[in-house]
Amino acid sequence: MAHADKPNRKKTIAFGVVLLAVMFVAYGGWRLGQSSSPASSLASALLAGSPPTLGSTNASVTIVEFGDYQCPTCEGWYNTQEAFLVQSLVDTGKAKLVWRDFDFYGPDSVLASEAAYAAGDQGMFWRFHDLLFQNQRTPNGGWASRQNLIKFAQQLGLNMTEFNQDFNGGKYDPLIDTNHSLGVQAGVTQTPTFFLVGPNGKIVTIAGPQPESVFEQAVAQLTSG
Amino acid sequence: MSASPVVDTFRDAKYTLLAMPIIVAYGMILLFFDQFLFFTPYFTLYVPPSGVENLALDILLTALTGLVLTVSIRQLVLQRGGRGTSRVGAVGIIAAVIAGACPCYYLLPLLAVAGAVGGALGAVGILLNAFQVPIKVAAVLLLLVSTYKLNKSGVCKIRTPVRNVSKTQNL
Repeated sequence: MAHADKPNRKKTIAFGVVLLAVMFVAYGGWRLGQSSSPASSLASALLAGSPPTLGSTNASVTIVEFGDYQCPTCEGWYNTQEAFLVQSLVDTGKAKLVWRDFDFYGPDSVLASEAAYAAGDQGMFWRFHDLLFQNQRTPNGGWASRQNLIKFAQQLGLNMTEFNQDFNGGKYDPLIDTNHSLGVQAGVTQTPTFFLVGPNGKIVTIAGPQPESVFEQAVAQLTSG
Repeated sequence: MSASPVVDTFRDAKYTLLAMPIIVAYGMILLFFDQFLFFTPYFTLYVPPSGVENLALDILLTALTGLVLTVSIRQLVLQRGGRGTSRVGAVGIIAAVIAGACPCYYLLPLLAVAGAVGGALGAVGILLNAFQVPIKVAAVLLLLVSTYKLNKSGVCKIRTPVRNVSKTQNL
């Protein structure tokens, strides 16, 4: 019986070793393919236009966030990491934060984006952005309905005539569509996804709600060349 | 040799060794889909304060999947070797696969983002995502039942034949 077990044991060990090796190689290949891309037209596309930007225009690294105001993961990242990121990278002038919509949760996501841009036209984009994440509830549960978004605007003391005109006129639809297409082109498969564009156009992708320390490490990598 | 197939399985070094890659691979997949583990740009393990409940369920699911799959494989190997007739091994593997597949609903919103599926399937994914804790609890229960059944499968019940006692006494 002991003799019969020996080949079986060898087979099991070999199977385990092969499985671990396959996992290791797959991980290595994936990392090589995704970690850092060379300068490309994607970098210029990500920086094109004048999206809402937080921080100094002279910051050498631009952090482009693709998110959806109805996405719970984006809300989780906002509540646990964004303040730390702003404090350590944006306030210190090392990086600036750019918002681009990647609305896929439903029509209320698009409404929320439109309302944020309408607030942005009165210089209150980031205040409205904060208010949306602070009030996020179940996706498509009505918290980002047109009426509620108008209430948020009133809460911020915006000029309501101007806000309603901008919000209801479909003024931001092309921008929202462009952002979505850009996200697809950049390979966004989840929200939030961040593209860190360095001074030489190199890009580091951070997919998912990763901790602020990862951003610090990536910014250091991009600025060190 | 004890009467418990679970204990017997893990007394055997080769099955303990087999359980390790199963647990590592399944745990990594689960933690990755739950966005606790990130491979890019750096290998990062991060659990936000709101994710502790989910992490505990992931660990439990991983351990139970490793246990059920390994014990089931052993049962199947014994069955093939003619040392048992239980079909519980195959049932255990099926249960582990079903329970293990539960977290795959995470893929639906991802596919919806990529525009690879229609809006309806994406919406189902988003809905399922909101129920991830109850779905995982159901998967844990399924695996617990499988573990119980697997453990019971090793107990050989000896049925005492019914004898006509009075006749014997008369003799």
